[in-house]
Amino acid sequence: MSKPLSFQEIILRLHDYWISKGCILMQPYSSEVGAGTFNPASFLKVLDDKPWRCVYVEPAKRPRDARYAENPLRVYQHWQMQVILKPAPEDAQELYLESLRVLGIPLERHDLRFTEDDWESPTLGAWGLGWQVDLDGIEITQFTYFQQMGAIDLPVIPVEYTYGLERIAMFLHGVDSIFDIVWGEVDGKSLTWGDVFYQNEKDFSAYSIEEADTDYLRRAFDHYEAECHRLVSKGLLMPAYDAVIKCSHYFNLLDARGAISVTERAATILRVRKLAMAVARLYVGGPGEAEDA
Amino acid sequence: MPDTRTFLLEIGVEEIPASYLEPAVTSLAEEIEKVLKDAGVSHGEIKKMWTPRRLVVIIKDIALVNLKKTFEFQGPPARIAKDAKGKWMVQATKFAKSHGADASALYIKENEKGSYVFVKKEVGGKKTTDLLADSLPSIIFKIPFPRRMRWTRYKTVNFARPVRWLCALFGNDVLEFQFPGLTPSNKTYGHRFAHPEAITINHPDSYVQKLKDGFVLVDQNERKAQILAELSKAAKKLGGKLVENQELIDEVTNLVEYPEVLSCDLGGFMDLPREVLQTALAKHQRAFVAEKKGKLLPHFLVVTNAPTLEPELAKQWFERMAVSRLEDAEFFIKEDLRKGLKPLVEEESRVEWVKGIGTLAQKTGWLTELGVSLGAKIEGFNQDTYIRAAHLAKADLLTNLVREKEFTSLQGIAGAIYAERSGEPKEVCNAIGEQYTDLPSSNESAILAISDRLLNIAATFIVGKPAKGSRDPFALRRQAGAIMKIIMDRELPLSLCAALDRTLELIGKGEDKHQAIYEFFGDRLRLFLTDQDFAYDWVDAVLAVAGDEPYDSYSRLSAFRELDKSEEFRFVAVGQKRVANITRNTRELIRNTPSPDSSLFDQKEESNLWEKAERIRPNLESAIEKRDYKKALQLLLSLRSLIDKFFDEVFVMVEDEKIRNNRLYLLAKVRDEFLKLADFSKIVVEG
Repeated sequence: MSKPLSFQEIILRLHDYWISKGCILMQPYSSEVGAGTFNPASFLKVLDDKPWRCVYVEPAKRPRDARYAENPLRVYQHWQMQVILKPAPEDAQELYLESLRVLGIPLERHDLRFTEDDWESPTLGAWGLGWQVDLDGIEITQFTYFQQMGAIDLPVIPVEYTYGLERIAMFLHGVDSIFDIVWGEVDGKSLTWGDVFYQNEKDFSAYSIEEADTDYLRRAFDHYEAECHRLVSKGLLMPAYDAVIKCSHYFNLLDARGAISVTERAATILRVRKLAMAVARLYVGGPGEAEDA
Repeated sequence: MPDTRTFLLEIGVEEIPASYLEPAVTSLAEEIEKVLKDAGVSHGEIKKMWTPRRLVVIIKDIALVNLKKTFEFQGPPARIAKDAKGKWMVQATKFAKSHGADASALYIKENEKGSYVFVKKEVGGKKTTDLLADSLPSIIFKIPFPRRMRWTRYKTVNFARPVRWLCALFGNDVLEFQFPGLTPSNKTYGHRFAHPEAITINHPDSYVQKLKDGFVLVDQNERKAQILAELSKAAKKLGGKLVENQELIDEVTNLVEYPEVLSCDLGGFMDLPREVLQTALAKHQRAFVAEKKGKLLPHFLVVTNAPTLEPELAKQWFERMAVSRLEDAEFFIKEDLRKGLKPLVEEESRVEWVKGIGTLAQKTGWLTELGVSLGAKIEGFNQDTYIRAAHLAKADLLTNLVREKEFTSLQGIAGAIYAERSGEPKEVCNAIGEQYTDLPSSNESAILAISDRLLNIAATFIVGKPAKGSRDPFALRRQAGAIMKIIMDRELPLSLCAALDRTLELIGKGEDKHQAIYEFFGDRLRLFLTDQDFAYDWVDAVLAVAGDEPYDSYSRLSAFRELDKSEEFRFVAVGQKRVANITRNTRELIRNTPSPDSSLFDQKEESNLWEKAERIRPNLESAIEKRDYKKALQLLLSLRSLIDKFFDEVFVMVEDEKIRNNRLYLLAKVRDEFLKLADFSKIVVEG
């Protein structure tokens, strides 16, 4: 068997593949997000009825999953490959399976399943139906036909594929730990995922679990919440959406610090959801209508 | 025999959730059957089949056309229908035309109004293919699913998952019908990886076999049998026997098209509690386990859907993922044990139980008080054990293990494990572990299980989320059913009203909802009893006089069952109906009335009946006191012939008011004896 693709080669192959299927190559967003769906290239672009196809990698930052680089499968920051096809093509499943073959996975020799998994993001007011894709029991992708985003019924149904790049690389490399994935080579010398991100994991774990200033985070949450409403009323879509992303990330940090009670949790999620809804309505209806929100 | 064909419909879909399949295909088959029936099309056996990627109905021997019926239509009077030469005139020919007939088909007939022109028209004979083509599109979109989705821009096109092909055959021919974006054909597809190519079906009879050749076992029963056989074989090979999990087998059957079993190794983890191990493997890998002499073997069995699988490769990954889940479980358990349940009980005051009702700590308090008052009625109920169990019962909801999505089903069980490891008495652990089951093994477990559900149901009603119609998101009906089942199984002498009174008193809110809660339990008791195969009229007869203690109602009905359908019983019912009818209007009058005056009896049938009634009364009362309902019933049946004789020989409604009332008193008193057991007048007597 030939040498398996490195992490960076997996990214490149998938980029090439999806570009050849008519996607535009986007880049990660410039603010902390918990999932690739938060990138405006997904959240906003699926709201209208115009065709849209894009592919990008997104670092998903999840304070609650931070484990001080001690857990082989859970990390503060993992990498998602996000693909949006709007409208969802009839061969959505086949197109996806083809992308796995491009990575050199002989699907016939494995047990690949589309397992029921109804996706929902309460903070984004979003849901869709689809599956998690399991390869010999490993969840490698989330496959969703979006139905609602920002609590708006989508005029055109898109399909979203969210690849768990680490999972796929572990599968290809035959390693048990994310940290052992070969990222690429520098001057002919292999560099692992761990070589690149060990420090990042250690530090952000300590920050997320112990050090993040919860008083400040609460104030910041309140500030960006108010700011979002204010910016929506001015019709300033993009900065308003940035405020939604910030609130969501602060909420995640507070949650990881254990600073949010069960009751407060639901209420806070609802607050972020309201912001996401206001922004989605602004995007769809223009500034005039958003004041009703 | 009319000319017939076999009909095949296969709806090809992207993987539909396992739990959706059976109800969907059942609805599909029923709706098609209904269309055929309404149109008078005869047909043979209907077969329902499914896999995650196809919903299939096959109907044998469908008639080509529906039954013909002839209707006769009346036209103009005969006097204006024909001219002098006997030729049809314009009004007659117009009439013929309006019914699509030729004038030559007209004829004249007399009826009670006179002589008129008539024409016969044959209705029916519509082609079954047209009938199906017209109705299939709406039938398909009417299939009920718990959740539906759109995948095109059309709002009305929705289904559980996208529909990707339609294979429809009527005999050898494709049955064409309209469907947005798809054209029905005679093509289907095999297993996604082992046979992705299209398969042409020439006739419905070859469908099942052709799919089998394409690595799809379309018949779920065949798949299930194969899965069970292979799992058992694999377990045997490991030197043990399969731990059966019916629910999981059913689920797995609906997740695969071509099942095979892969045997994997666990390595370690044999120190994990058995329930945790089993749950982790079942939830995450949908894997089965095997046991030997009551101990789990260090292996697990995965049902795969990959006929061309490379087992050694796949095995590694299934094992790695299992290890990672079990490591998580181990981690959670270690953390939980380090902390223990006690601090979690304290934490309960910071956790909301039901919004608007109270915290988890409050629930725990209510659980304790409610159970203590219910348990007071039960012989051998150990109050100390109960109080300790109730105190710890809800703490496991705050453990790391139970808070993890895939282990939430271990609530109770996890609590029992932790309680045991921290040295709680066995009986306490047992009660904690059984609080969510409907098969508690001790009275303390039973009371905990009942109290928990009483509180859940009451709280849910009070916050305005009752079970309504087909909606019961909090499974209140199931919970009430479990309460009934436990009461009956363990023969608990509990009063429903007293239990609810106490429950509502503890919660202390929502007075306006109380009536609805009592009614809900009344309905549930009635339904529980009829579900035990007691006829609804017997149930009504018993509930009319003894509806508060479920186990008591049940015992009465069980005693009656032994006399099921006997003539004796029938006559009692008839007699009691007569008594009830005749005393109905005078019921007011005779309430609190003394016994009949035997000096006013002037017929022997009166005195015989009264004497016998008097004689059996002490025995009857003691039998009922002892709940020996069989004996009570036998005593009452001994009155039967005397009642019949009374009605045969005695006229009640005589002129003389004194005599009349005395006879009514007599009957009312006799009826009161029967009412101690049941209101027999409610039993429906046929013929």
